[in-house]
Amino acid sequence: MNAQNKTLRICIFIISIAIVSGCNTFRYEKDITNVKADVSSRLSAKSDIRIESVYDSEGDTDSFVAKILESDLTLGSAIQLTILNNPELQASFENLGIRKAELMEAAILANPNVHIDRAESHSGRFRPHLRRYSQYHWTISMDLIDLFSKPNLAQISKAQIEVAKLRLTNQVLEKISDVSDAVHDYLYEQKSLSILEEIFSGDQAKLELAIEQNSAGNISDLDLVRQQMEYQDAKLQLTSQQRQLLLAKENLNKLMGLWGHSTAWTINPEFPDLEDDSFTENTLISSVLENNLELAAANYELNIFKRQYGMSKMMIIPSIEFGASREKEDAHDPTNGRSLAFELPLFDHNQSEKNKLRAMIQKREKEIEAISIGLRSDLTLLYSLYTGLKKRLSYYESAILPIRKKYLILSEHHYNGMFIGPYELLDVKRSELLAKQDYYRTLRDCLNARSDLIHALAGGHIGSSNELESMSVARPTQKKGHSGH
Amino acid sequence: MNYKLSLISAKIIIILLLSINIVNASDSYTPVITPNGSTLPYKMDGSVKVFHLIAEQFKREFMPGFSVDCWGYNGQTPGPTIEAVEGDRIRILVTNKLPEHTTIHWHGLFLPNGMDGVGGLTQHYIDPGETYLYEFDLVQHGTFMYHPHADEAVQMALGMEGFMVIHPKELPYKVDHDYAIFLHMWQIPPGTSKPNPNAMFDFNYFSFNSKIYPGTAPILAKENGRIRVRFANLSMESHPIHIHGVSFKVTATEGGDVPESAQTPTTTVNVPPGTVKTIEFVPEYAGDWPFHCHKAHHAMNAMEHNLPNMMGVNQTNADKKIQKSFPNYMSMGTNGMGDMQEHSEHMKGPKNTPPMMLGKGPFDNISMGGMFTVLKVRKELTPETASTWYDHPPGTVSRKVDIDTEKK
Repeated sequence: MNAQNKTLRICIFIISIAIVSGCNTFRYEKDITNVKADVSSRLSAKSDIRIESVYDSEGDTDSFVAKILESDLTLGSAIQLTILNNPELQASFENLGIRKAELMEAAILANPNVHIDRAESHSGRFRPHLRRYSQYHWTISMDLIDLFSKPNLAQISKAQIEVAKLRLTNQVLEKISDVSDAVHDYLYEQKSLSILEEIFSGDQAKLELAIEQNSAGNISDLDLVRQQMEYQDAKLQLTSQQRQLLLAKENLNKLMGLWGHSTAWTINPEFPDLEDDSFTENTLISSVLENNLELAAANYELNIFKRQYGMSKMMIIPSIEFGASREKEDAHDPTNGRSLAFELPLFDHNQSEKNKLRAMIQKREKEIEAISIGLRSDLTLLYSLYTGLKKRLSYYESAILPIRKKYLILSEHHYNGMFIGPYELLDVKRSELLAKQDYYRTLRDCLNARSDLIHALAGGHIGSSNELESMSVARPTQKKGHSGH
Repeated sequence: MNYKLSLISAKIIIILLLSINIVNASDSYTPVITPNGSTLPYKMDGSVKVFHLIAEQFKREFMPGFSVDCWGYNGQTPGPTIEAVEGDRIRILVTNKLPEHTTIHWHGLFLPNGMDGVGGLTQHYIDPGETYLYEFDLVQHGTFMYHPHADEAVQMALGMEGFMVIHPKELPYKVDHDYAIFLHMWQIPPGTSKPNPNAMFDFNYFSFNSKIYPGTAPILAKENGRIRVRFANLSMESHPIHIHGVSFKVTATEGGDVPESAQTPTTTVNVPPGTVKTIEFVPEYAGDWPFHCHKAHHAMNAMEHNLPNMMGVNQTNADKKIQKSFPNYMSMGTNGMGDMQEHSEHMKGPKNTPPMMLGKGPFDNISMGGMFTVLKVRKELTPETASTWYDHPPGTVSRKVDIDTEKK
């Protein structure tokens, strides 16, 4: 094979690659569907949460949303709505497209350079003896380094897309965790409102009794004012609770992407059952470490950095331009040739890039270690919070609530015997209701902690130690002094 | 139902009375009857009458369905009545089965100082399990009390007290019936059974011989018979005992006989703490006559004194709201508490706690409690007297009338 043919073949090869690379289009919708499917399978593997049809329903979201809202909202349907309809999440899904496009761009071959020269000479007044002539010269060249690093770059891009998908999955799980908490919060606020309404009704009754007692001449104005103050406090508390419920509802609406008529949903007012689970701290830790998306993303990134570092070690010469050229002068046969241009790595032999990547690898390794340690620690805290709340809940169910109920029944007996009056009786009821409110708060916290655990098992983020510390823990029932006149 | 027990007790008393009249007809004195209680038997040791008192804990049924954890003697509060005659020499063995030490003081008696029963001052305490001997001559007559002089606030609050009746060697006259009634009060919080010995105020049960109405036995009296009632009080307050249908005189105290010239007729005798008042009367009018402490709350069972005053208060609107939380709620007190007994029949109260008012009469609810019983005066006493109501002669019972007709 002569040199001319060789050059031609190389050119054809380069052009083919260039064409193929140039034709490389991408679709990211499938990736989004995959992310949703991944979320669904991660959750259903770890909990009773089933997400159906979320990734099949594109194209008819509105009617699907309307269909879900025809029935009472449940935790499962709220999660479905969030995945389908939460605008932030939808924007994040689109981000995957943007990210993918950015990464694909990096993987596309740089276009070849074409250089064309034309030179002409003219006979002039001062050089009439010279004959007029022209010369053409063109070259086409590509960066060989770019060309040969493309397979590696493609691998890196693929890995980076995986990282983006993992982060997106994490975001979806985050939203699911948020919506789970929001559903539990809403149920709690609803229960609280109904409790405070009953307390308020009792305070209204007490005020009415006090007004009648005052008008009958049985209590002083001072005692009446005291009762009015108690009533006013109860009224303010009720108003605040109504506001709390509104906030909780709007938070849920926002997460589910609902507005206008679609916010007129109803919800089963009962808390979901707290499923029996067989979590143990050790299996949880191994499972969480295995599934954690952030950790997986960090490991992907570490591999990317390592691959980049490996490449950078080979790339002592940052660029080698290779190409073919053709030259023709008048009356001469054209000549073909090859061109080669490269930087002479006398000063810059890519050492700064290598150092940077080495540092990034070390940083990422430390970060992975930090993530692993943080996960273990946060999980330990979360698990202890959850088990503590479960114990507390069980204590409420087995001891506190039955005793409050008994207290109520016995107080009613004492009222029947005229050993206590209606004010004290209503105070007992208040105390029983506040204990119930505490119970519901504990149940909410417990369900939230459980959903955080499931979220963690599915690969999601665990709240930081501080966040876990600040998770509300049921406050003791307010003890109110007996009122009565 | 509650009344039945009283009737059974009364029947026993009547049988006792009748039998005493037959068996002891030749005796010089009429034996004392301690309603709902008993008299302590004795044995003779030569010329010495020997009694045995056992200080112990037990449950006392103040009325059916209401039992109280008491301390007392020989399973009773008040302890069994010790009965003797002036000039007797008596020996009393006292065994302590209490969880703490005790003594017995013979309240009002003249005796050797070392027999006075004051722990630490006149004798050693009787420790649990120990038996002490008291022996002395009875140099006076009258109605006296025995009670501990050791941790007495606790021990008396729990019921440790009893009568000692010393009959005169020579009787100026003989009574037909001689009753002894100890007045006492207790703080037993609703739903509990142990009297609170720490209480200084707010006592909620007031008893005749540690029984509350309708657990109290009726007092039976024969028309124109001579009746003696000995009242003793070791509680924290005085009790003005009022008897309907008779006028009586205080004939003696724990300090001795009241000279006839100092006896004034009355229908109420106030019995302060630490005293005995003996009254005598001759009932002339047959009937069922109330016999009670005239402090109004002492003739009721447990009630709370700090309840909101609902008299005249319209509770209708509040009722509806409260019934949301308590479906069986019923307001009380708007028009008084007269219907409490009726309500108590269908509204469940605390356990071991009698309703405030009780008792069924021939016409309606009697609605009393505490220091209340009935003096049943009859021409003739029969075993049925205690369980039957007075048969009013025609036209002698108050009746409803039409005011307009009456005005005409």
